[in-house]
Amino acid sequence: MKKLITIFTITGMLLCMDTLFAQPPAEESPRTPTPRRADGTVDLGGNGVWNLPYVTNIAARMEGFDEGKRPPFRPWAQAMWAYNRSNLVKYDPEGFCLPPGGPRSMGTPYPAEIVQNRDRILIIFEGGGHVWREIHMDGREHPPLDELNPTYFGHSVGHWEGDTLVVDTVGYNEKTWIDYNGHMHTEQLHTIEYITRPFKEVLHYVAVIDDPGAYTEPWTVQWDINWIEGQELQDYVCQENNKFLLDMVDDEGNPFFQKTNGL
Amino acid sequence: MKVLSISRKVFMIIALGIIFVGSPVYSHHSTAMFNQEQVLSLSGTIKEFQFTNPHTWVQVLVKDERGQEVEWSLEWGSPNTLGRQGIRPSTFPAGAGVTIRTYPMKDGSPGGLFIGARFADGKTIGRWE
Repeated sequence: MKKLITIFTITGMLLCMDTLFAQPPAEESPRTPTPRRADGTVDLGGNGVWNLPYVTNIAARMEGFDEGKRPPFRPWAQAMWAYNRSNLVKYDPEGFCLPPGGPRSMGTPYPAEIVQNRDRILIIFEGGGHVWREIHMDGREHPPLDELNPTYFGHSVGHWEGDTLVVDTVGYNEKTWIDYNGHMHTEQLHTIEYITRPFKEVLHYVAVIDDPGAYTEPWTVQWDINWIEGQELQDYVCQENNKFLLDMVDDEGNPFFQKTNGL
Repeated sequence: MKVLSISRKVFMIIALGIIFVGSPVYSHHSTAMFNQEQVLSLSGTIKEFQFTNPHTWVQVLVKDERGQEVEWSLEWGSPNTLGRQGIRPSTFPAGAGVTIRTYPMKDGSPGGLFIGARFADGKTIGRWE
């Protein structure tokens, strides 16, 4: 029992870790005016990268979480969340080096860079298996859902509302979780993200999670992302040497993968 | 081999220390397989430093009670985070003699979560107090 308690203590610490990581900029932190492009729109880039925080429990980023507010689960989604907790989230797709997808990509460790082209914005992630998102800014709409093959990052269209970049995404597959904590979603997931840069050193990120397949109503999460001037992205190829997958077994005790003499 | 038992309070302080320095070992991969209530000290020679994603591995050859050489696999942070802290593939040269501190695997297999290392010349890597 003591061991069990320890495991849960460790797990609990891991789960609250994102709040420990989330360090709002100190009062004395520099607050340089928001950089702008020639056409006056907010510049989300510069000579540096965004230091994504590690948001392990996205629900903890809901307003009112500390007062007991929780995602408006449908019963199956709550049961699956509890099951994922019970096995220490061993089935988390990101643990298998699959992409984070959706808002989780903005709360997965290692930095990201935002590249603004004329007709699209790319977010390049060092972590999450070295992936990127593409946000169409040319005014197009989503294709009809039955013509859209579900993907890890879905189909994103964006536009500016004043200084806020609004990104609307549909067409997600079900191969990701919303977070490490075990919150799941369905192909009905629709996200609306609101990205602002109130001053040079901080990106404020808001995501509305709208998935009538898993939740009874939309819920909103948000966090800040700090700028690191001068830093550059590096390689990160998660599947290179992910040893634990070789020792992992499913609920029936069968290994997920076979050991080979390999590469 | 010497097994040190540390108190729960010390463990919590160390664990929180790890969290605050942002050890990437605590990323999306579980650390439930490590016994973080025990610090195991091992002396041996470096076989290989696998400077790989998602996490690095320090491979150390350690003699067991019968004098047989056993290869230990000690998991450390990602090359990304460690690289930004100045750690390089050359940090652990093959053949170097080291003493390693680790949270061992719960199942008794020769592995653990890397805490710190000390070379024969006194140089230390990671956390060594």
